[in-house]
Amino acid sequence: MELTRRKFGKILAASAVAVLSGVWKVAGRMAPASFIRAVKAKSFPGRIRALDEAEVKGTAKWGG
Amino acid sequence: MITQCELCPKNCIIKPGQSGECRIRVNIDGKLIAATYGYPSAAHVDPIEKKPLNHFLPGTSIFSIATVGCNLHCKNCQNWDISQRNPEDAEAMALPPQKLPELARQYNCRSVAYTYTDPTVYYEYALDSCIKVREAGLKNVLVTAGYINEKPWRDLCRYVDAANIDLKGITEKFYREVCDATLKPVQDAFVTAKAMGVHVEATNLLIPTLNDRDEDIEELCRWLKENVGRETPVHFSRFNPQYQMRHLPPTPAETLGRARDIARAVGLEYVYIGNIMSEGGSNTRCPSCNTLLISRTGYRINANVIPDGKCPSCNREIYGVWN
Repeated sequence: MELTRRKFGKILAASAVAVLSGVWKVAGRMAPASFIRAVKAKSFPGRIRALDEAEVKGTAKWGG
Repeated sequence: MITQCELCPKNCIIKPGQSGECRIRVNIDGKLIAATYGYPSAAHVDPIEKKPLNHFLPGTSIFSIATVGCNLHCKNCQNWDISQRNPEDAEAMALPPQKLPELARQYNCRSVAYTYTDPTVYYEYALDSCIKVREAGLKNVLVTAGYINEKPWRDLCRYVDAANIDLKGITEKFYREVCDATLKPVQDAFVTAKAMGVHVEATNLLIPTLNDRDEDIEELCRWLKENVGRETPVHFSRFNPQYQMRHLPPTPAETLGRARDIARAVGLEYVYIGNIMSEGGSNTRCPSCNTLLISRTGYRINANVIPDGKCPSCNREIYGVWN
């Protein structure tokens, strides 16, 4: 089949569309998902201790 | 998948398995997780004057909590051992939001403070707690640097009764170099909170050579007066050498006195001196007739003659929440 200038143009355009849509998809996967609210963690990563009544009653050593 | 946290102006881009600058907002499998939700590392009953709040339920106790983590990294942080700690290295208590009103009542507190570190980073825990506390008929208080984006700040302020917001300096240079932050979002937080009906008081920690020039103090006071109101109580606080600023001396008492004089000259009506014992530095006086309304020694109230919020001599309304 003869490759005319018009056919070549169509193939070129189709290829460009395919490449760009691929780039768009990859970029979409790479772009960060934005959040304002975070989800509650299933567990605390540090050590858990019981509430100490005497400590609670005392003024904090920290400012504020 | 990479996530972006849009809670505060840092807008951290967080890779999987890592946290934002605050240390407590973590990307786990492409989800943003609040690592300290329901797990405060500090819970104490403080006098409300310690926040400091001098015009909000004076003389009452306030149930105060904090989780680890902060979005600012102030070189002078006096709470750095809790604010700059990773949750995996911390100890914490299991205190879900619904438990807070019960504990506050148990310790005879009329309000709950989200304080010590910055409640803006343990945002979801603070917000859910505020809702539960208000439902129980108690008040919510934030002690914050106000470094948060507009939308989440508005959502939180709907449930907040009072806030002490730090205005750490009045220059971008100070915020960038000392706090690793920027000034504008903090100023916006002041204006928004006040416009939403939150009782606002301001704190300015004066650090020798960094933010204690007369011009800076005057500009800060002028900004507060023009944008938040002349009635806004201002607390000038004494710096003590801490964390990464041990090379600087404590703020001299004269600097604090000078700051108070400048603030009054600018037109601010209620000016206090904190973190230092000073004669009359924490007393409340009527701005119209100078009558002594509340006499304090440190955090202790010696006398209070404005239970109804009015000066007994001239009947002037005194800014605050008194009952």
